Amino acid sequence: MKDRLSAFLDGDLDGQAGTPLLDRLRKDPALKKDWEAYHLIGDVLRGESAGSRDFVDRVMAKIDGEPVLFAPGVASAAAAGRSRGGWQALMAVAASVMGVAAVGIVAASLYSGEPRVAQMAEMKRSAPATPVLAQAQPRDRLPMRNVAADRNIEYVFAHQGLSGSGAMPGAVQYVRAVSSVVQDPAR
Amino acid sequence: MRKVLVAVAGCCLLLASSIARADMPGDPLSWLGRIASAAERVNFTGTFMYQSGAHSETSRIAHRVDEHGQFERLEVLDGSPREVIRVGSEVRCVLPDERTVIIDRANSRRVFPVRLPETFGSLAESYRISKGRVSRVAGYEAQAILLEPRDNLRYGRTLWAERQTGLLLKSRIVDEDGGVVEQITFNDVRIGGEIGEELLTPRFEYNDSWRVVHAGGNEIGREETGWGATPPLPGFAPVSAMKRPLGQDRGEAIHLVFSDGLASISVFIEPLSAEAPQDQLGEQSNGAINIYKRAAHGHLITALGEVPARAVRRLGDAVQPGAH
Repeated sequence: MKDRLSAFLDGDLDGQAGTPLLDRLRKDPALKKDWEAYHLIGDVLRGESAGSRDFVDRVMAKIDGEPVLFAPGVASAAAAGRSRGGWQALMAVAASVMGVAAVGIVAASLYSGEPRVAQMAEMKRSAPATPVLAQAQPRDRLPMRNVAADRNIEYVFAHQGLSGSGAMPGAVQYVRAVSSVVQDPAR
Repeated sequence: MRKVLVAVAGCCLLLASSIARADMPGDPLSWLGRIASAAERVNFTGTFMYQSGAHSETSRIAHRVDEHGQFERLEVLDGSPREVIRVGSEVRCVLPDERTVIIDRANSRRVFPVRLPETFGSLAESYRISKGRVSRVAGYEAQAILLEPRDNLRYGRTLWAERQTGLLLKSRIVDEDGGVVEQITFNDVRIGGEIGEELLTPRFEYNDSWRVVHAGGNEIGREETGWGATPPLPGFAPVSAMKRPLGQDRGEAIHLVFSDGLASISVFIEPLSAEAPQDQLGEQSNGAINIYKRAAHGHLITALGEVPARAVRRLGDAVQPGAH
């Protein structure tokens, strides 16, 4: 629910999907509190906060305790990563590390076109929550991603594993699998 | 896909041997057979460029076949170092920057002889296959083979094969407007002769401290999956079904592969989880791969492949429980 709340806040949920959320907001005081906190955090990060020093401290303390507030996708991806085994763990690593050619392109198109990612990257630079996030995914050299994008990479990787590039000599087939657009960690 | 290609190759070989034993067949189908088998028969070394969309990357490759089997080494020359080493049936992707090795089994998918008159048939059903012009690629005379799609569910392809050996020197995938979706071209290649050990020796050593990951799920019967495509996508036959673990508490993903003999579409079916954002459903696109996601029957269904968007959507929409 927090993910959806955050998505809604980011404008990632359309009106129809957001309606039940708003209903729930009205009924659920805890969720309403989260909602307000999200807004406050956003205001603080954008430098629009009129809050007291104490207020900022309190918000930041809350952030430290709950990195999920900042980057729900990242936090849940990290959580998913911990519980993952076998294939998905492999794909997550492989994808984040090397990026299949196709994967790279998919990633590039998904990531670059994703406002939330840009927003999170921005927050990562400016927010004190950075250490928390860094700790959450120490191995990750790529920009943060949400779970859906993460899973697309896994899918593409698995697809490439079972499909050649069409009559290609042996290892040439693997060029898709090792070629990459997103090698640059600064991306 | 490899399986299919090999299978196609096998059929083409059979066909080739029955139709014409000449070194240079006139029949475009025979050429396809030569292309597929040349990859296994011919020693070669060279560099090639992989292009997809605005992205391009150069790699060096060496291939040797001898009484001990197949040996290959591929090294990406641009960006961070990456290496693919094939020894017999085992393929290793070595990623030194991340101290990671990914091991894939190539054996089961690459063995002659194989099945598939039906796939072979579907290839001709799905594409008009013809010979193009002879031109020069990487200094060699190359015969172009054109595969024009008979419908709008697949891309067109052009393959350029070296005339004497059949080795593929260039491959291009184009969309219906003639735009290049993906292209692989040898810039420079030496065909035949000895391939020295130094060309095949891994450049990167690794040890126990590296992360070693094993790719590949477990192949299962299509009936066992409990899923299928109804109606089927014209020209695309089911070729493989696998189970892939998703980790604890998340069950397994079913991975179905459909192929028309050249292009393939993967369909992944996994239990719908709370963490899968609903706003990611629908079509996503990039240069070579199209992706389509939908939630149905309590599952997240993802179809993707190097085919037009409408093809992944149609197949994705057709996937349902019970159908085979």
